[in-house]
Amino acid sequence: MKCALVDYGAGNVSSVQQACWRAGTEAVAVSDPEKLLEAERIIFPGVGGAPVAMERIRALGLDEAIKTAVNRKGRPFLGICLGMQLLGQAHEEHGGCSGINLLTGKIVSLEKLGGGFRIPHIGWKDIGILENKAEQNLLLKIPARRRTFYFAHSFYFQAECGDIIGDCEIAPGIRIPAALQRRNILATQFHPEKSQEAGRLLFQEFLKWNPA
Amino acid sequence: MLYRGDRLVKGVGFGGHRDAGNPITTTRVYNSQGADELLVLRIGAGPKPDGAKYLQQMTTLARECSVPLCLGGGIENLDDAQKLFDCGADKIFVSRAARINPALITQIARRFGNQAVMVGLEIVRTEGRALLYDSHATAAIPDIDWLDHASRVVQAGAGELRLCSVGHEGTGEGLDLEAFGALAGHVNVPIILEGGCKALEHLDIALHAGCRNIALGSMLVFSDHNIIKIKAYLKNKGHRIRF
Repeated sequence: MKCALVDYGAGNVSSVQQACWRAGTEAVAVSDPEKLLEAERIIFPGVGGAPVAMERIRALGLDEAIKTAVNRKGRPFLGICLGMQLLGQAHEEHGGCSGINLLTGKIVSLEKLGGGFRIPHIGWKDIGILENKAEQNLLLKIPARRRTFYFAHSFYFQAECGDIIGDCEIAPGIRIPAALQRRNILATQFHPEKSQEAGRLLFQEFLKWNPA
Repeated sequence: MLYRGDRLVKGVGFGGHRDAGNPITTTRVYNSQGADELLVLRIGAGPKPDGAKYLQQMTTLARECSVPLCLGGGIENLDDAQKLFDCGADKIFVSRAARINPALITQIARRFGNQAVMVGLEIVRTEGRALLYDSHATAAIPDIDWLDHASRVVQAGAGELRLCSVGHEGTGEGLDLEAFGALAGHVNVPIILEGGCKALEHLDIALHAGCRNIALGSMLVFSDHNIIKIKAYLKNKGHRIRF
């Protein structure tokens, strides 16, 4: 299996499947941990509440399979929106829950950043590139004028500076991480599957990515 | 995009609907012209004899759409919403149900997140006063303060509001910026403003007035405007537009 989509009943799996297809790859929805370990690369989509999603992922045994695929097998892995946030250490939504703990950082409410913007943060935003990861930064593969992506979220990832490859401005002077990259993990706060041409280019890059 | 039967329609002031084309091909066109989001509302829903066909058509439509897709119209319970998410919707639009059964907003938000619930606020002006409008009964609702209603739906979990001024809808007289200003100062969720755009200047004026999201219907259907032309105009005016 070339590409698996982690299907735990709370993601927009069909949208991501369409987006992969547009980028030239057939992706298969998978909820069986054994099957997930057979995939050459993995996409972890997600919308909705974090604790409910995490509960389902644990019940299906997908958290351990994801860790094995990423850490031991070194599979290229893409987390999208909630799928990005669940890779962190802890999420504070609806009473809070712990995450899969593949990336360092906590996920907190956008309210913590003070006022001056509307919540949820919804809409199209230009992405700024951070100097991290140098030429390996996957966002650099997308032409600068095309780096506009769709966001829809109320929480954000307080990530380690070294992992942030792109950010976006949600109010004058306030920027949040938009994309993280660490070894074989790429994670986006935005929705590439809903970001038209920009998204298609990012999927193409991920689907041929060979992280060192 | 207003959906009725298996076609798109467009009218004036929530009435006088005329045929506005095939929903799938229209989606393809708007998507390729660079629409930022599509909102497809089923109107005149009533009982649901055409349920299966509608859902099948929305599934096909969602496949054509590589931008966010909001579906709604006639949603009464979580099961209705689930079916539309299964079709490929990213958000669900509720208006009437948000008044009658605000708990539904909370139910959808718990399962799919607040960002997946868009609540429609339709208002009408009577003797200078803005009132909520019931599009089923085609009458104003004088006993609910529309701004209080807006606060309640946000409290219940609405992640976005779509404000439509019925007197403005399809008239081409410009957007209702007075109502927008009142709502923007009252709630802290994103607001999409709709109704009354005809000339390009209407969009320029609304963006200058602080409105960030505008929904277009008639302007794209019964005029020689299109999304590319509109975005090029706004970009030239110095607005931050995805183009």
